[in-house]
Amino acid sequence: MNGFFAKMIELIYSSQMTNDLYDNNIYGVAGLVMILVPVLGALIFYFGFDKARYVGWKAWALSFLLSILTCFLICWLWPQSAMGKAGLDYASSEYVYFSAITSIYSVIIFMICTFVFRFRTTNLLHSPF
Amino acid sequence: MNVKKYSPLLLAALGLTACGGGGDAALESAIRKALKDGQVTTEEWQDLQAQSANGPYSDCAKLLTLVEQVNANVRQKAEQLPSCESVKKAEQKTALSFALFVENSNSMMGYFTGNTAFKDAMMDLGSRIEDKGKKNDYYFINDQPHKIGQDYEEFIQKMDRKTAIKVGNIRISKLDEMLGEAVRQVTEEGKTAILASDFIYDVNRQNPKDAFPKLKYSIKGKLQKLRERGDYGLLLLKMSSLYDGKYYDYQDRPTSIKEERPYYICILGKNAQLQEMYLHYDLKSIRGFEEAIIFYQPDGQAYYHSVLGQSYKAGQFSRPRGQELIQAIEKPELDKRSGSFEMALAVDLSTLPAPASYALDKLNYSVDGGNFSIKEILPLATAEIHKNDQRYLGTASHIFILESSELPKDNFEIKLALKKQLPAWVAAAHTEDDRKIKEQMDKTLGLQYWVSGISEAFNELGEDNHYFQIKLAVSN
Repeated sequence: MNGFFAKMIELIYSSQMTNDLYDNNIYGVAGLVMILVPVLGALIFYFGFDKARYVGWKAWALSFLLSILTCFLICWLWPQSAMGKAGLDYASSEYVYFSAITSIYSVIIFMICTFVFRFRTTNLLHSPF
Repeated sequence: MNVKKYSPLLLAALGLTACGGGGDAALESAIRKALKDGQVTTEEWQDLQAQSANGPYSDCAKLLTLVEQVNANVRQKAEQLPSCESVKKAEQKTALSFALFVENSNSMMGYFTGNTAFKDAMMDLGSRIEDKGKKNDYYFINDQPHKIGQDYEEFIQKMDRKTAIKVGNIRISKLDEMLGEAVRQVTEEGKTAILASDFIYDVNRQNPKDAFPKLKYSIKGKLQKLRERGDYGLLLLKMSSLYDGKYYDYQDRPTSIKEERPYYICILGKNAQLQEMYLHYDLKSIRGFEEAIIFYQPDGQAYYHSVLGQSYKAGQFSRPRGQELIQAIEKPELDKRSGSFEMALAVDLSTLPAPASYALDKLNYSVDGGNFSIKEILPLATAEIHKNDQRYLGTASHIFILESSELPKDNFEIKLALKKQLPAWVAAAHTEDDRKIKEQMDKTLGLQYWVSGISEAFNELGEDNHYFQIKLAVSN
C-alpha cells in the first residue's frame, strides 16, 4: 500500500523528502487519510445532513472545506511528528508542500464522492449545484 | 504401557544415550556457556578449540557449524559469531616473532656514533617487540647475517660503534642480499623480519644509472617470491638520525659529515601482522620517524561507504528505497543554477594501511564513470554533516565530495579507487649522484629504484592496482 500511494502521490510530487517518506511508511498512511477523510466528509454531509435546509452550496462548501482542512492538517502534522521521532529534520515548508499535494487528491476524491452520493440522497441532489 | 515395569529399561536407555554423546555434550555445554552473554569472545573461542582439538570438531569450520547449531537453539542468540578467517587473522596477530637485522656496514657507522636517533629507534623498536613476550632474534648484517642472540639486553649492549665495527665484513653492503635474508626468515622461519639500513647499495664504482636497474629487478624478484608464497607484505619506514662519520659516495670517496641523514626500516611479514603493527604499534612515536608506506596485495576487504543524502549536495538524486545505506543512486540531475552535480560519500578509511596524508591527497585517487572527479576529501571531524545524514555515517572516517558537470544519460557506475603509487617523498628523497652529498643531506642514492622494485613486486601484473575500490551504481 505504501508503494502504491507513493507512486500515486509522486505523479505530482517530488522532493528531497520522498525516500524518507517512503522508508517511514508515511505514503501509506497519508494515502489512506487523503481518501478516507473526503469520503467520510461527503458521506456525513449527504447522508447525515440529508435535510431540505442544507440544500445549496453553503452547507456543502462548509463540509468540503472541513474535509480538506482535516486532511491537510493530518498530512502535515503527522508526518512531521513521525519523521521527527525517526530523527529526521526537514523544514516545515517541506511538510506543508507534501500536505498540499495530498489535499489536491482529497479535493478530487471529494468531488467524485459529490457526484456519486448526491444522486442517492432525498434532499441534496442539487447540493452544491 | 506399564511404565513402572519398563522404567528400569527406560532409565538404562537414557543413561546409555547420555554416555554415548558424552564428548559432544561437554563441548555443546561449553558452547552454551560461551554463548550466554550473546557473543563468543576470542578467549572463549580458543578454549572451545582446545577442548575440541582431538575430536571430530578439531577443524575450525566443523566447530563453527556446531556453534551455529547450538546458537540456533539457545534463547539469547549471539548476533555475530567468529569466522574461521577472523580466527586465523587473530592467530596470526598473536603469533608474532621477530628477526631484527641492523646493518653495520661502513656506511652505517655514522649512525652508531654518539647518542643518535638511530640507536634510540633500534632499542625502542627492540623493546616494543620484546614486550610481546615472543622469542626474537637479533642480528647485525653486512656480508651475511651475524646473530647477536635472543636476549634483548645483549642487543642493547651491542648497539654501539665499538661492537658494531667488529662484527662481520663491514666493507660489504649488499642490499638485495640483505632483503633476501629477510625474506628467508619470513618464509622459512615464519618470523616477521625487520631490517634497518641506510639502503645505500654498493655499486662498486659503476655508474649508478647502470647498476640501479639491476638492483631494482633483483629486489623485485626476491619480493615476488615472498608474495607468491602467501599474503605477505612489506612496511617501509623512512627515518632520520644524526650521522656522525664518513659518508662514502658511489665512487668510494669519503666525506666527513655530522648532520641528519635518512635511513630506513623495512618490516616484512604476513599482511595481517604488518597491518596490526602499522595500526597499533604506534610506530610514528619512534624517535626519528618521518614517513611510512605499506606494500601489500589487498585482500579485497570491503570498506564501509555510503552516499549522504543531503550534505554537500548540488543538484538532485534519488536513492533505492528500503536500504540502510546509499550505495547506489538514481536519476541524478545537475543543479540548475551552478550547472554541476555534487554529492558526498562517507567512507571508513580507519583500517586503511596507508598514511593519513596519502589518503587525504586527491591526486592518489582515480574516479571512473560519469565524468566525476573528487572536489574535496575531508576527515569526518572537520566535515559539516546534515542531521539527516548522521544515520549513514556508521564507522566512516572520511567524506569525499564528488562532482561532475556532465552526467551521462544512460546507467553507469562510478568507481572510486585509492591508487597504489609511490608517495611523493620517495622522489623527493632520491638522488642518482651522491658525489656532492653535503648539498643533498636528505637524499638517498638510488632510493626510487629499490622502492619501485618493492612496489612492483606487490602489484599484480596487468591488474588495476589500488588499496581499495568503491563502486556506486547510477541509474537514470
